[in-house]
Amino acid sequence: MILKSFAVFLPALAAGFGLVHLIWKNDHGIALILKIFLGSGLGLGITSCLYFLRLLLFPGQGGYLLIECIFLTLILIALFVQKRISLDISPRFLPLSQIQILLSLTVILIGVVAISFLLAYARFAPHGDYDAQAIWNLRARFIYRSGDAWEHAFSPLVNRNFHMDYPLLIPLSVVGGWNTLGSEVLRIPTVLSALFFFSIAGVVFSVIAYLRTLSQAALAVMILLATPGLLLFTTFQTADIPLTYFFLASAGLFVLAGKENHRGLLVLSGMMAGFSAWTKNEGIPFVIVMILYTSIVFGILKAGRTFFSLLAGMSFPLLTIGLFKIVISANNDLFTSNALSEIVSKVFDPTRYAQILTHLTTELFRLGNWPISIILVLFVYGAIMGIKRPGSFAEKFVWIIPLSQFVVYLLIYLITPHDLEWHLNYSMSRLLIHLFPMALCSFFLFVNPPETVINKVQ
Amino acid sequence: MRILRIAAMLSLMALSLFVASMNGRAAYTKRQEASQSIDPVTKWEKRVLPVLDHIPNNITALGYVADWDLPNSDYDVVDQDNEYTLTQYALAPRIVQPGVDHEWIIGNFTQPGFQEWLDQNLSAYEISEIGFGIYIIHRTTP
Repeated sequence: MILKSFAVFLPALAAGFGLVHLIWKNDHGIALILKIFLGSGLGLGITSCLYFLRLLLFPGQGGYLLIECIFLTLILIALFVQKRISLDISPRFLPLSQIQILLSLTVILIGVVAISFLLAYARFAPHGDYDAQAIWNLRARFIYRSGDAWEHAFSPLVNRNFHMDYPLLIPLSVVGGWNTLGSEVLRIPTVLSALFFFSIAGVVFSVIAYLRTLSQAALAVMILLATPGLLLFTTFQTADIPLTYFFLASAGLFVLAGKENHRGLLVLSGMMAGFSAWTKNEGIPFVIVMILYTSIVFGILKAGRTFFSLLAGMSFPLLTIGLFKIVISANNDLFTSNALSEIVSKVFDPTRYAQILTHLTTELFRLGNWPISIILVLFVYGAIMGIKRPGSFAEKFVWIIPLSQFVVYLLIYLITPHDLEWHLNYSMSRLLIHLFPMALCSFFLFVNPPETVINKVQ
Repeated sequence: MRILRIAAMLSLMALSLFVASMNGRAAYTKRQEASQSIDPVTKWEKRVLPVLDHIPNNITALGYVADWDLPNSDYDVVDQDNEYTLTQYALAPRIVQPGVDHEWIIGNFTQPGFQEWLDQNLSAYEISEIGFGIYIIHRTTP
């Protein structure tokens, strides 16, 4: 059933790959690998938006597979017209050195363990974690089981704890999968989570391999695939791992756009940022972060064209979100139950800062559930390996993106209407996981790659 | 310095492999546990789904009362919240709302004294036990 569930999404993944290939005319072997992993999120994101429009316009719920196929056909036609249908692969990274072979084998081994971990948990907890049952899979069930009356899923009678205002990329992908297979197959959310998890690994690997070296990329992906916290969150079937993916993909594409001076890549970066907002509300501040980051990197005066490309990419997912907010007029719990005077008093309350910082220190120390602090390990590793001078301006300041989103998260804690201790315990570890792959990617762009050391030895 | 750098890289690999082996052990344990028991969500679904046999098909919203409603009752807040969430998860797309403001109400009681509480809060009702402390309560007067 896992393979069948995966097959449901194959046309969307292929169409996503085709779209990236159409926009970014680069046939470097690593670039093609990157396109595969960028295509997965892009394909699923676009398909979910189109499926939402289909639900709004026509009765019934069928047609997810048809939408995927139409999307794929249109992309294939465009590729054919643009003469991009053949892949001229140039495996410039071959032959592999001994260290690269050693690292590659280690990555494969850790990857196999990661797969077995996800499979074991899929049997142990097939419905995912509490949040999946309370929010993501619950929403999918409401929509799927309501048939034509799918809007019933957003009835004001539904308990507010089930967060009706959360966006629909994940629930609609699950609903689409169920409609295609004809029943509520439990493996659909499992497969979606795993797809996003391995796409995170793929994007981290290929961005670093493209901008640096294969060994450096292998080291980064090795840490990522071994991170227990990241694996565990993947088994939860929540929107956190897809959100992490879209953050990473948007930031990675932005850096590539800066390096290649390629506006198409900026469009893709904007799309990924937009899809992060269509995945979870935390994506909305990320969209703003990306816009601000653009003005920092390109300068406000020169940012016009860049903004246009970024916003052009964001427009489709943001329009879909706009439609969703209009049709489903549910309010966000962080702001509806929080009066302005209350927010101001919280901002000036020093005990809240102390409470947040204390909790943050603990969470950062055990980031990703590593047995010893991975931040400390990487800090020592970076100090030993030394810093590599970053190439482009976008690369130099890429760390601003996870840092800004991190600051946004801290501000949300500051003004939260919920009990602060409860909110910190409930969500801080997973908010930090959202930023971990982006931060890891930035780190390995700044540190000297193993090749420099090995080559000197040889 | 070169040797130190090579050592750093190999250490990072070794640490990753060590943590991956821990992940592998965790996966093995979970696989064993999964083969020996049904997951708690499926188990809960089996408990509450028979509720649907007792209510008319056109009912789209149900009330929900549990130990957390009983005064001075001893209960675990997290367990109570989980059970409410799982009940909603199992019965979707029917909406399950905490309280007694619906004609059909699900009762989830493990503590004694719930019938006295129901008598005080509902003027007239019929109650059927589904099993495992799950009850379906039908208000016969508004």
